[in-house]
Amino acid sequence: MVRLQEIKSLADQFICVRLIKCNSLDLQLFQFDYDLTFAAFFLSADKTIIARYGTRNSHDSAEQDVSIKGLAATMASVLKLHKDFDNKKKWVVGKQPGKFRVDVPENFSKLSRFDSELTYEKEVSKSCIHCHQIRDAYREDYRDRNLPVPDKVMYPNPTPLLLGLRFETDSRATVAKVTTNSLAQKSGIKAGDLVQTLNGQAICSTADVQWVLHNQGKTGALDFVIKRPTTLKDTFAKINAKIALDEGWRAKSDISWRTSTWDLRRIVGGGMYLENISDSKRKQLKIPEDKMALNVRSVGKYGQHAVAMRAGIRKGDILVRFNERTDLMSETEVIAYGMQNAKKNQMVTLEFIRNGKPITIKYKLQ
Amino acid sequence: MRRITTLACLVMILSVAPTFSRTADGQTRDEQVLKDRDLLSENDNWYYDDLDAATLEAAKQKKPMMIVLRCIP
Repeated sequence: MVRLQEIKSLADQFICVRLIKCNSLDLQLFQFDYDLTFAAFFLSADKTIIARYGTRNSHDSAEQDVSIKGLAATMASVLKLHKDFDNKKKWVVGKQPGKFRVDVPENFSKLSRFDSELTYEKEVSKSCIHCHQIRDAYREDYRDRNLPVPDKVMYPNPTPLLLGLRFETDSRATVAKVTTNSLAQKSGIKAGDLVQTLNGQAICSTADVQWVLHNQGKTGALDFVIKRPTTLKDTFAKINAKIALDEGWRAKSDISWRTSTWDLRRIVGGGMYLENISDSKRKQLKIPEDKMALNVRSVGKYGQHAVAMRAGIRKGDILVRFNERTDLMSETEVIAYGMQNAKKNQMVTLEFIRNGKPITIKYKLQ
Repeated sequence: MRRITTLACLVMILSVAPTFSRTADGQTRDEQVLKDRDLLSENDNWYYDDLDAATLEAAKQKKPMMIVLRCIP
């Protein structure tokens, strides 16, 4: 249990910085999951990244993903790494950023209207580039160049849940739960294990695990070094666990919770918000289990988010075909199809079921 | 100068605020941004939106930096 006094003591050992905007943010350094509402970077004075903190798995349950105690655990591990840091840099080599497309967010055309500083004297919040807008702009940049959005940009910072791993919120990287029949379970990882390193990098947080995942390719190999409690008090076994990532692993990500997905709903869905229908509804409509059946939860009412509404799509319609595809089984898959296989201004044909009858609607992608 | 601890600032920053234009205590987003600035910029332990100065201090004190990015809702 971490006590408040201990957290204060930890914080006093850092130079604490509050960055309050993404305007003029150095994107060659600050590369993280831009859909977070809270993120922390731990840097040495020469701007070497020691660790990242901050993760999220759903829209509504941030308290399950970050906590003061979890942050404190990460802070403690960072302090250990920072001691005699010159001899420990090999443990953070893989945490360093790669080359980003632009140096600052305002260099994306979508964000060029923003200044590098906030206007505190008038409507300050409107002058701020929010983190998720970096993701929005990055994807739209591909769109504007008529390029498919790469998997790494489409499904960024994959959560360890993809592997079947959930970490304890209040720890730096202790496994809370392993999903039955998951990649993690097959590798031998168990609840209670503490991840020490992943692919040779010191793991200080779930975000550090996500950074390793983020940088995997179409296939991947994960080498975990784990500290496992034994039956003897205060003794641990060192365990190695390996996970192979097969092609298509990243596309199993669910991006529906991400703030930046709101913009993707505009681009691909004309403002539609889709959700999976219930099993009973599927049976009632006699739609096979392997065929698309997505309920229109809502449609946008204003501006570019109202394209679907203006085309005639209504809340409660059931989407069963998107162009030639009837195998897109989630909103994420529909969006990814649109971003990776269809171009800006392309006309798409959608088939819905409304009141038991099929209807066809067309609109242009954005 | 108002005394605010590093810990209090951390708790404040990490707390999950509602994403509505006006919060439960009636503050607009703009008011929240200004409150955040007042709270942090008056705290000797925090560098408010000044990474360059913080980096120099980190080198001087041989401490690591903790850089918090927290969206004002």
